[in-house]
Amino acid sequence: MADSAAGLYNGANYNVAAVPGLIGNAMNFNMDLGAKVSIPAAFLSSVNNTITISLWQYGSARQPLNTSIFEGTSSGVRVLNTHVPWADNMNVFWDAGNNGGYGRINTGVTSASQYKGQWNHWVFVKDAVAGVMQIYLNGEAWYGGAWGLTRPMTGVDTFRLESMANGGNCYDGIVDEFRVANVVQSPDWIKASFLNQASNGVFNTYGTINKQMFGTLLWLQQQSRMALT
Amino acid sequence: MKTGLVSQVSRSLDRASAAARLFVLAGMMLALNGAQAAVDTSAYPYSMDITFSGYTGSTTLTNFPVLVVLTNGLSGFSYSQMESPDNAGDLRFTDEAGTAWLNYEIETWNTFSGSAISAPTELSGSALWLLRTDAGVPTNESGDVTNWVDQSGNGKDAFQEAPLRQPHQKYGLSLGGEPWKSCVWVQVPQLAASTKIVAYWGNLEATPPPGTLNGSTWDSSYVGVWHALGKTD
Repeated sequence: MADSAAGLYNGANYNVAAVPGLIGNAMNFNMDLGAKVSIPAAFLSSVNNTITISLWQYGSARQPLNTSIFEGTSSGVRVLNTHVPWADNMNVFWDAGNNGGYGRINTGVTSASQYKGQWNHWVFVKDAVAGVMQIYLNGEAWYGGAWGLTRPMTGVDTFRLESMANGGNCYDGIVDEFRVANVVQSPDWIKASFLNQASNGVFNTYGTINKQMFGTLLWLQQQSRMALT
Repeated sequence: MKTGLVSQVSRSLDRASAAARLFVLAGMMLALNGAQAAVDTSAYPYSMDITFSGYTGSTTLTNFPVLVVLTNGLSGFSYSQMESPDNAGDLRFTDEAGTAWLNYEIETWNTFSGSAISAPTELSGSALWLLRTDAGVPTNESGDVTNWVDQSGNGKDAFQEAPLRQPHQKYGLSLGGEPWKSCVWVQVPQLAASTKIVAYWGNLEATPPPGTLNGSTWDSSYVGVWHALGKTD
């Protein structure tokens, strides 16, 4: 799975299939096949106090299940993790931090459409300086706040997408446009990303096609000279 | 007679070229007086303005990656207008003032110009068709696909008898009727509701710029961007 950012941290796919996605292709993960992607953890080397992780998710009809969307660990200890949701308690979890434990926020889903049967845009944010953790769903702040969650997110040495870092609890569904930033993206940035990708023809207005006359004149000039010679 | 007419046209065009050169000279003088120099788009015969009135935020976003979707459904747009329709090497974007080429990355480039196939009979001489996603894929009670019915009508069905290897049916992903899209990410220096960028194409001599592959579309705060499985995977 090719990384488009400058670091070029390409992921190693394991039993992942390409399917039509919301934007171009997407990744189809079949839990029976243990599908997952291992990404070199060095891509997180500049992540310390702030992070924004975003993705599009389309859970399969099998959901809810006890699966992870991603997990990053340091010497086997959890630093980053999400469940959308964890089936046993139907909570969405966002875990982030690495200092004698991780910070956690979690809350229950309110409808099946939040985790399966449609594309949903999930964004997970942490600002360890301000003690803020936040979850955005489809462009809107969904759960979180400034709750003194100040553990930084350093030292991740293993990172997997669509499973836990040890390769277990594989996800079942489709994921598109997975991004990680080492800053806290603003609510405006997150909503614009959602609208631009989900409703491109509404967010963007495409004008009429202009044919430049100067190019036409040049072409006519060339044709006339050819006719004279 | 014909030669005389052509000569007149040529003289008229020479005058038009002279006028164009005057415009270029005037532009250079403006630049010397402190105005920002413009990029040269004169070799690109086609252009299209793109605006973002759907942006509802109150802040201006810096270096925001905007998704631009090109399809044959865009009025007046055709891949045949491009000099490099296979790789979009002549596609470019500028800011509204035309002062800079914008970074961009092509995620998906799909030049299929026909309509989506919805019936096997549309494929002349079809001998076997198993991969249609919205028909001929019966599932068991768990939603797993057990066999694929040959949609060509030749009865060459395929089966997967091992339960653990039967793929699970996904919904809402049929290609039938969906327009074929090309998806391009463009880094917009300053995004507000009033922002305009301009797309250009059709330059005979343009080749893909290095910025389309080196990650420059994504500012340094992005430590990873995985579009999912594309042609480079």
